[in-house]
Amino acid sequence: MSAELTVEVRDLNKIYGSGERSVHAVRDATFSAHAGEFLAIVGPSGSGKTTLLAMLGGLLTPTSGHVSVGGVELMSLGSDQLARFRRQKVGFVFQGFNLLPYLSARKNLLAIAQIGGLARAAARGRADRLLEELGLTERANAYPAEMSGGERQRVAIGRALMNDPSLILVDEPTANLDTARGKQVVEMLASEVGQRNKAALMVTHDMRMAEYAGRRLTIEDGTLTEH
Amino acid sequence: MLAFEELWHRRGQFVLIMLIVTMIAYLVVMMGALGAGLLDLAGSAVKRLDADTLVFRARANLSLQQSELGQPTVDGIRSASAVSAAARLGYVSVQPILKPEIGPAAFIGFEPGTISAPKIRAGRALEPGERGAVLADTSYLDRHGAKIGDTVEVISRGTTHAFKIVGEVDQGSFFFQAPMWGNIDDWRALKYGDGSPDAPVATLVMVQGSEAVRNSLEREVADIEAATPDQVFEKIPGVTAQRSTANSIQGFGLVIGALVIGVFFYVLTLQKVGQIGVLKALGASSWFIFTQLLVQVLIVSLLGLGLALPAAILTLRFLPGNVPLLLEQRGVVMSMALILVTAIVGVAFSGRKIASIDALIALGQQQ
Repeated sequence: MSAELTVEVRDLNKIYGSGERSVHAVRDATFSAHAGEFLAIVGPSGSGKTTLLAMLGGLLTPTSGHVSVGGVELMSLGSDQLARFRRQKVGFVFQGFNLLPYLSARKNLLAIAQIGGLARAAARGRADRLLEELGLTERANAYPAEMSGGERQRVAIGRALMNDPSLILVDEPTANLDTARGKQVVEMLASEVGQRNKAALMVTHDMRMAEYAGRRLTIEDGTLTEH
Repeated sequence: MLAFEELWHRRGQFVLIMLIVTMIAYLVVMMGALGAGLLDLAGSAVKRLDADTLVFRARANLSLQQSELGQPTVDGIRSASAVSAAARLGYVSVQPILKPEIGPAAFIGFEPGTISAPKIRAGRALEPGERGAVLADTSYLDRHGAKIGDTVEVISRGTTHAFKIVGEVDQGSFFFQAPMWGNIDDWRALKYGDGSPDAPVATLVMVQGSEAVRNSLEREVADIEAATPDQVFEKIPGVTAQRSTANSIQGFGLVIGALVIGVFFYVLTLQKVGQIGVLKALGASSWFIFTQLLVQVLIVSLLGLGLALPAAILTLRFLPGNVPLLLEQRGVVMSMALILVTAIVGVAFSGRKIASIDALIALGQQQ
């Protein structure tokens, strides 16, 4: 496994609002992650963990500091370039399953290829392989409404891997699952990240889930601490 | 493609909006047909005259009712430079005795064997100098239930005149009246009575000639006004008013269509704000998302239009012939193109909404 530096965050700050009513959501965050590493960021709600995730995913502009993902310096990008960055370098697993309700499992994966303008035949092969690895081949033509919570989250993981990203960002993956299911999903994420040599960053408020991650950081009132 | 998948998934809603588009398109097309049909009744025959220029008496306001030309003027027109052919035409309103409830008919006097003679559809043409015979327009035969070989009696200036229908023409109507075409001398007798040698000899003169003909006529012949058949048509009382009424009803139809389609897709977009945020977080551009919407709008509109046209054609087939509806290819194509354009304009709002959705909402969002 190469130890390629995938994520580099230095002195990252996010301040909402200005003056007395301003909120310092992320305070001087500094960390890095290599390919193959699974980081968990644990913190209570309002601690700034989602803000941090959004800045890493190019969804939110930092107030100051430096973020680099897969060799791309995010501070210098405009909104179109950020969209391209997300298409090419980032895979998201959202808190709600956030699958497109009008697409089957397989087509939810293929939608990523369509957004990214990937060749159709190659995309089909890749989607089918991912579905197989995630144990979803039988459910490939099922719609989100027909799937269980665990199945939906597995489809969401497949979708995040579809564009072969450098970084996978995971937002509270177990919020909608019972403990057993939640464990399964996080284990699966950890194994995918290891096998594929991706960097992954998961934010969660659930300390038990963080145990499956290789590294754990906690965040409180915007300040990040590594254990 | 995402657009098709969503369309299929929500087909109930999309079929509903398609039916609404169908009804609006049907209304717009039928209004166009009614407008065209009324205009046709107003004086389509004038437009179909085989002439480049129609010459009226000056200050007659290009009106068939007011214009009267004397022999010297007609001779002057015939001998003017750039005139290659000229023929007299006379118009008078007559009252057929049979079925007076249908109202007056138009009697058009022409010179048989000249450019003023209408094209024969059935029966035979009039011989030069032949009197007491007429060519009935198809609209006349339909409305009055007459046929070739019948004799029609009409009243003009209190006297009854009899004419035998020897042929059928399809020139269209004059002033909402179904016309019959007879010898110009018969017209003169109907309008001014026999034995008045000084009476006018024509309502107007049809002229064929080069482009310069209108200028040379007005320069060389005193007391006349020359215009194209189209200009004369526009002067027919009611034509402008009818056209603007039909156009404004069509315009309302289009505005309503744009609003209905626009609001439908806007509400759809509002319902999908979360999904759109997710798509954006996954890297989709606003333009990518908007094109999906455009594809859906185009499909729904085209299907709606595709249903409206056969519906309009069927309606025309089963409506009685005296309803003035005329489906013109140009008008139909225009209406349909306008509906398509308004549909696209209607979703412009949704485009703005899509552009304003922040990808950030995808995080922390529970579905």
